[in-house]
Amino acid sequence: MDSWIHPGLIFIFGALLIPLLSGRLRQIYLLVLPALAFWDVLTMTPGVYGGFNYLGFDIVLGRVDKLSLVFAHVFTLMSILGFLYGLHVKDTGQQMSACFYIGGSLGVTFAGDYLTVFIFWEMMAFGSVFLIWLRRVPASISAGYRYLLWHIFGGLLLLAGMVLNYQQTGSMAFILIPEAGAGLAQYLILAGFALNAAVFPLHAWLPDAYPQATVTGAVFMCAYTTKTAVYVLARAFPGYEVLAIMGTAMTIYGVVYATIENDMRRILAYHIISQVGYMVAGVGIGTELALNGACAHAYAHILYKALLFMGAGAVLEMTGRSKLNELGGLYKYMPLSLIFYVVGGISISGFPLFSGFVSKSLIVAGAGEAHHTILMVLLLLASVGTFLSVGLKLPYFAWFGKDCGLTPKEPPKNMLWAMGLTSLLCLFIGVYPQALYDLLPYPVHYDPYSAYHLSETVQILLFTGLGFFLLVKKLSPEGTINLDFDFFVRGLVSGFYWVARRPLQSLDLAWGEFYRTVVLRILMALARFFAWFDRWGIDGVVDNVAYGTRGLGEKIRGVQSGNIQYYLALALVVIFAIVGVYLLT
Amino acid sequence: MNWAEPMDFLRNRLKGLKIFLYALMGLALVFDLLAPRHEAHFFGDHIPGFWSVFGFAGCILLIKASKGLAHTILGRREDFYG
Repeated sequence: MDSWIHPGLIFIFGALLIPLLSGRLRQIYLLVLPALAFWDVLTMTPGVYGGFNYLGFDIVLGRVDKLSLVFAHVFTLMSILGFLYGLHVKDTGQQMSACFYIGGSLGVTFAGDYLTVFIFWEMMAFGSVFLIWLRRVPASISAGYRYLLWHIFGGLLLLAGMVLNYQQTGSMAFILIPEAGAGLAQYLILAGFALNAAVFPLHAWLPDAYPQATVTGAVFMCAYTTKTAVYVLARAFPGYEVLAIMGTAMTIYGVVYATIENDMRRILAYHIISQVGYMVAGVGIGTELALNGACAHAYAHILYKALLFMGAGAVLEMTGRSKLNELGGLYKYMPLSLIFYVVGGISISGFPLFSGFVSKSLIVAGAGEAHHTILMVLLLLASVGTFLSVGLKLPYFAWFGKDCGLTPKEPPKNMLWAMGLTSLLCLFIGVYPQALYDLLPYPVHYDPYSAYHLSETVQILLFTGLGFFLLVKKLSPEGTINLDFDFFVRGLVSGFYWVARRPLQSLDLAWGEFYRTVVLRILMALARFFAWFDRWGIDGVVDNVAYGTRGLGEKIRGVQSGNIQYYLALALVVIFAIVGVYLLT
Repeated sequence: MNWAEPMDFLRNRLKGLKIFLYALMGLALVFDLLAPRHEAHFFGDHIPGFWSVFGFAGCILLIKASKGLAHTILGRREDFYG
């Protein structure tokens, strides 16, 4: 089809209608809108659309190829599930900001030039921060500001890189950058992208902000920001060694924190870092197999991580608690939420027949085939930690463990339906991986269900479980928080506050005093001078002109006596004068 | 249907569940002896039962190391940031 409709614009313009609708109509609209966008992506044919020239820059809104399509596919599919999960929410602000957020994410996915990337990049940051702020508690307000500061910083890195890159190459085209020719400009762009992918040490915004978002907001947030960043990294920086190493480090870093954290949603947030680490490592390894793995893992991850956030969100929604040391024994009251959560948990842990198994193994095999043996072993160690922290520890202490005495109900039906459908998708991808593999940018020659891979996976999972139950007492949740890099950033912020309060404020005071005593006096003196000048200079001139005119008027009035004989005489004098002058010359 | 019932059913038979899981581990080890190794990437891929040891040791190591970090340098009271 020749006419191409940008699915991001469906969300962005669609958002404007949301506050005008209410009740059942709005709920229907909130499901139709993402479904339309999903259908739009399904019916797209590869090509370049929406290109035009603006101020000499070639703007491309719609670069549709296999890489952008697989991400757009899961982004729009996820939006249906996310809006279904949040269908009971009456706060239209959340739904509107989710629309702008998703629209920004799709805008980046289809962008063919850095200007378009940048504009939609910023739209994502500003759309998503409202999903934090709209929880309307003091902790989320301040976390939202920190989140925004981080993303503005990342946006500035990207902007600086873009401008320098333009200066060097004369092009704004958003294309693959070979590692050999990459300099400061390109690494600035990389750093801007890496911040959104929560690459260590630019990751601290994620576990700081996501646990403070609204219940439904967190479900959206865990899907879009980091995976859009994985997309742009895969587009511009495949095969960068630094990404392979940092990605692998992230996988371990995330699970270590996920093992010791207490807040359910912070555990899941740290675990996003670990999972995105797999994708970043896949991009960094850069072979067809590993890049396929990064895309497949992003696809599968969006679904099961959203499912995990839905499950933890259901507990938070119904109990008002999210700390594991305040939870426990909920299986009797929220068994369905538990079942759906566990489906997410075993998907993310890579159980055979579930989606993580068929996606993660592409990256691990990619690392093995590219002879990155150490990276491969570390990636497998991280999957041990994944099962330990997200698959076992979190559900054990939330739904089993010691009974916390709460008797919550299951969450609203729409939340259960969203969790159920997402669970089905996780199972479907695991059972029929070809459906996912067909979407990937390169042809897949890999069979996850080979005997050895099955054996390896089952052993790792079973014996991780054994380790967990032997040491389960050691893992009992504690009411503490753990330091992370945001310690330094908070320090910087407090330092900035101090500078603002002490030196800047005293400078302000001193300036105020100086202004009052010196500047104000000079200004007053000047004002007095001008007042005098106005009175005696300007007014004098103006008045004298006025007096002169009045005098002339008096004299002319004397001439205008109204007697006809004077006029005739005057006319004769004038005629004689004219004739006389004429004759004499 | 009350979905908590099958869970209570299992919780009342923890011993049986344990035996089942141990049997499964044994089966996994036997299966590993028989599985053809086409895609060996390093030495561990040639040792039968390597991934069992890896999973168990990795799990213990991660718990010990991360809890150790939490109890020494990382852990703080909840009101640390105010």
